[in-house]
Amino acid sequence: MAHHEAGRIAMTQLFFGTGKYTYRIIDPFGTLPDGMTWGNVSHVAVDSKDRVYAFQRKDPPIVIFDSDGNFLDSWGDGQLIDAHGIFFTPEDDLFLVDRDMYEVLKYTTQGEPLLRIGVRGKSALQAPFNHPADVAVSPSGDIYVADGYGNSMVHKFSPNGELILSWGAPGVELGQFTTPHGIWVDGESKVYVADRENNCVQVFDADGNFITSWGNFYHPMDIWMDNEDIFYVTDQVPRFTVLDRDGNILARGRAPNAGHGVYGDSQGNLYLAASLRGIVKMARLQS
Amino acid sequence: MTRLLFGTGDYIYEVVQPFGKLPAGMEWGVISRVAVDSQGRVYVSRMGDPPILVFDSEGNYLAGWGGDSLVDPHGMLFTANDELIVCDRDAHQVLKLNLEGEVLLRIGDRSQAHWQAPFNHPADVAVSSSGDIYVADGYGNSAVHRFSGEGKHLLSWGKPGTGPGEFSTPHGIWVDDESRVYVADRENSRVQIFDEDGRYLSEWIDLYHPMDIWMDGDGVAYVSDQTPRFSVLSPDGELLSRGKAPDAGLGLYGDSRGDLYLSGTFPGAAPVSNGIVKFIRQ
Repeated sequence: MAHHEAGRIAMTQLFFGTGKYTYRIIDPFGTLPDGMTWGNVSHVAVDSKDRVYAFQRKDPPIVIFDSDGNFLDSWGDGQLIDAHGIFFTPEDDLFLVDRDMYEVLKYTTQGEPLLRIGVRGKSALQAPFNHPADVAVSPSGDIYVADGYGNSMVHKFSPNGELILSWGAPGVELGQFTTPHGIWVDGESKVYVADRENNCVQVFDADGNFITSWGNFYHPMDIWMDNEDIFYVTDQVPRFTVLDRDGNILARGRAPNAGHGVYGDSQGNLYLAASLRGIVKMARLQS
Repeated sequence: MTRLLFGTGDYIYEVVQPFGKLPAGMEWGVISRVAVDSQGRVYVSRMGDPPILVFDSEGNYLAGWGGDSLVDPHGMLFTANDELIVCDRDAHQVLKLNLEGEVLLRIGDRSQAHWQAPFNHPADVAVSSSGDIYVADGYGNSAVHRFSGEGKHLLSWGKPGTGPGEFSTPHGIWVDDESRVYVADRENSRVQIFDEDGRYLSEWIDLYHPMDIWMDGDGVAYVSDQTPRFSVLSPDGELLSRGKAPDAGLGLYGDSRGDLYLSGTFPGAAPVSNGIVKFIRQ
């Protein structure tokens, strides 16, 4: 590995994680254009071309980089008030959660709105939405929302945004939630919910039937799954945990004061949302 | 700016953040709690001099006082007669003051803590309709103490633990019109309810590290917690409304109009890391 990059000061390299899942820390990642500064970066996502999208609580809410951190584009001024969860489908449809406006929105990568779910600015108790937190889409296109800060539910919508099903209630029992903060759906449409204040990831089938729960987290915040069905979970220790689909821990490391959101690219690299510091990249070592 | 509306059903609020305009050169410092007097004036307790800041309901600064008598004001409330009762947490005292900041009563040995006796970093205070003073004590102790209106110690209950009648951090307290005592037991993630003699009645568990509790004239309870969020509960504990507490939620108090004020200190949070948020009831 090169210890020097042209034009850069040699710095101590940090390596986090264990075994096969060891990463070189690049902090900060991404060079903003002159005059632009970071707001609070809530979440980050990566499209099919490994472009990195930061979702922040400031205009422009979407800031896009290539995988080397070069600025590419930004958009969304005035359209998104309170950035929270983010998700890309394999077709590069971008789903965004506008938490304090009670909406889930679907955009193209160029920032064209395609779909809105929820009533903008209007909340509901134990119905869509009350400060929703995160969104994920199944292979069949169904949209799942972790809702969130005010409600304690998961909602399932059809690809065109019709409500199909909701489940969950406030509480600490299995199938109940305190703060469903992160969500993912795997290839078999199993639904994984990071239940933050209940310190677990709960797993459900596509109809909301409880399957199992993974413990051993402290306030888990976000979930991303790679194309080998390996899960990456960030929590408020703060740390990241790598798990197989049965919930066995494969690796673990400190999340460098970041991890409200986590997402990966096709090369196995991870990106962490680091609030006012922007984005941290964890570059996976190739074995 | 975009208008933010938080809460659900009959309890929907427009969010005013930040609330309160400080005089030039003054900083918020570390804010603790908020309380409202009968005229709708808003009092903020904080570490700093002056420790008590007073605003009108529009957020205009009116006065600051208390530097001679208070070191670390924490929980506080107004009696029906507009007397301010406040915990001076790190001085291990509870004080009663008038609206000009004159000290009318002191309870506890100043700067001397006592194990499981009044006080060891008391957190919050409440008053019953008969005038008895109840103190959630607090950060060092795990007890509730009851005093007469003149400050005579009548009763204490509680011990460290997680069972009924035990506390981890009794951080907020309120007494309803029937002298039932509601204690926000922070690290046990519940509000415990007692009768006036300290007998355990029930508890509300659908809360994460509850911080403060306030009740309106109809006995509806408003609880802030560390999610952070606010919950509105009926006298029976039924959840009526819930919403996010915007970068705040340590202290919570309401006025006669039904508006709420939340105080908070959240280092590193953005865009407002410290201050008061007003919720205007719609």
